[in-house]
Amino acid sequence: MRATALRRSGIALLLGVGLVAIASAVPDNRVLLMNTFLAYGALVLSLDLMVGDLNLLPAGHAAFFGAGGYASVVLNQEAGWPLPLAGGVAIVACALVAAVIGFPVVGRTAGMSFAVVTFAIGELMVQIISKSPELLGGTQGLTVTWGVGDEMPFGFSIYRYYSLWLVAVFVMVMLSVVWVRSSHLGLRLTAIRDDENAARGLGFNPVVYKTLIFAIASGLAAAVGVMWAPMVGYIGPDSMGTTESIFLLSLLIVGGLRSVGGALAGVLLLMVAPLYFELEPTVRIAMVGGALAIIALVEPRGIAGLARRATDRLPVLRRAA
Amino acid sequence: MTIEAPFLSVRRLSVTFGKAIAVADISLDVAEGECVAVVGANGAGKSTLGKAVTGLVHVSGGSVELTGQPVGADAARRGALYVPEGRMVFPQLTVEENLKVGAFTQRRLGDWRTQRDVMYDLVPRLAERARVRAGLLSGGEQQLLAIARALMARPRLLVLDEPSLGLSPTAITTVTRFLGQLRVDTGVTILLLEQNTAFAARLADRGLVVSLGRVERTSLTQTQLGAISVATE
Repeated sequence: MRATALRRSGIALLLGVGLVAIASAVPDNRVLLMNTFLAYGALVLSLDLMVGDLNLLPAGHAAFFGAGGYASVVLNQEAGWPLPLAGGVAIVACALVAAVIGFPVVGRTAGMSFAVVTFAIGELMVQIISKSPELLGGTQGLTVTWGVGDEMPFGFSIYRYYSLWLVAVFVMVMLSVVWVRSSHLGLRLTAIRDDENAARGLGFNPVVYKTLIFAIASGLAAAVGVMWAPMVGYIGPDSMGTTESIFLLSLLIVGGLRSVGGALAGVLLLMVAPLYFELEPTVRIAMVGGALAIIALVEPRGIAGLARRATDRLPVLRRAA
Repeated sequence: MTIEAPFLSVRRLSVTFGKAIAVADISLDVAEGECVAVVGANGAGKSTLGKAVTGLVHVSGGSVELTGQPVGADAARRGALYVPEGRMVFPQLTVEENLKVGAFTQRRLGDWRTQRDVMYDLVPRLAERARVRAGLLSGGEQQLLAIARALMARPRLLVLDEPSLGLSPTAITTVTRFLGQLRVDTGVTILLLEQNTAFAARLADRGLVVSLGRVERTSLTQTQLGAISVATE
């Protein structure tokens, strides 16, 4: 168990080093694309902790991404806290809020009611923001003044500078996923997913674990938001609505549950590729719908499942793996 | 002079779910090391009784005490484990992972591998299939695994809910032999909730019959247990 965890953490860290190298070498017009991949990759991987490991279907993951962004921007601009402190507090606060609302509500529900409850929480956050124009900018959103016209470290542009932070968040999310999956906690999560009542009989309470994972996943989503908002210089309620949450779910389902490679493949195919080829938004929506339909019909395990099938068919590839 | 409290003592227990009364008024005592069968038809309240004894349902009236202390949500940590009916193994986990998860409450106290090896000695079949996903085992093997998984927590009281349900006669014999051996080796106390009275008679020291949430007959001997039928039809 421990050996697997260490090996996989090593791979995650190596990938992080590689990503830092790419982030400093990528041409200027592609930095935003790289940041999009990192941010959506981290969001989808953290989402998979709930969907893949516990069979919970949240409809409000993007809301915590937005909440993290808003909290750090407001703490920085209104309260005057330095950005690292504001960001750290925002992440912890989002995880705590998730735990507090999670324990009585989310932890006790499963399936459909879990989706409805998280949908309600997400919509509530969007409504609160839209109805407070003074503090949170209302429907117009907030402009982030930090970093405008300032010199960034290493002479980087602000986009490239935030690439490094997003790599850090991305690696943090990967490490969380690796450690959860290859620890005794991961076994207990699978046990709860398989059979809640039998898990109760053995003395562990599913409510506690669902709340814990909901809090961790929401905190990680908030961390992405903290890095995203100052990078683009703006945060608005559109980026945290249910549409966005469902889009994240689509990326994960197309990529494949419980598979880091699958989740990232989903992000590359449906988020990064359409931006790279500058496709119309309607074409992208059609692609997402089409991919979901194909996956549902052909291979419910997503791209990861297709890849596994391919390697099973080709003996050459199997030997290489 | 104090009278020593019985190992498990259930006093005038009642459990209700809304307006439905699952257990109306049940009292029973189990001595340490004893195996007591509670037999009854579907809906007699056996499972609810078992869950109340292991702190898994909210008790509406009466009391459940384990060695003189009331039982609550901490029942599993105090050694009272419930093995649900229908061999609820975790199908996605391997046999070995099922056992490892079962050792959850004892993880800090000792190495789970020691207890795993004890289980493998008792049921060599599980050792052979250690790396197989539990969902692929036969019905009898799954039942053995479900019991072994609970034993990983080194319980003092094992509540078995219909371990014979859906098993072939051969598998029932295997489970009987396993539980018999287990009592000899570990002296674990067993509360057996059953419909199959013949199976219960082979294992239990004595039995009682419940019907519609109440105790109908008490202190049945093994012979009496084997002779009655509690089937609904």
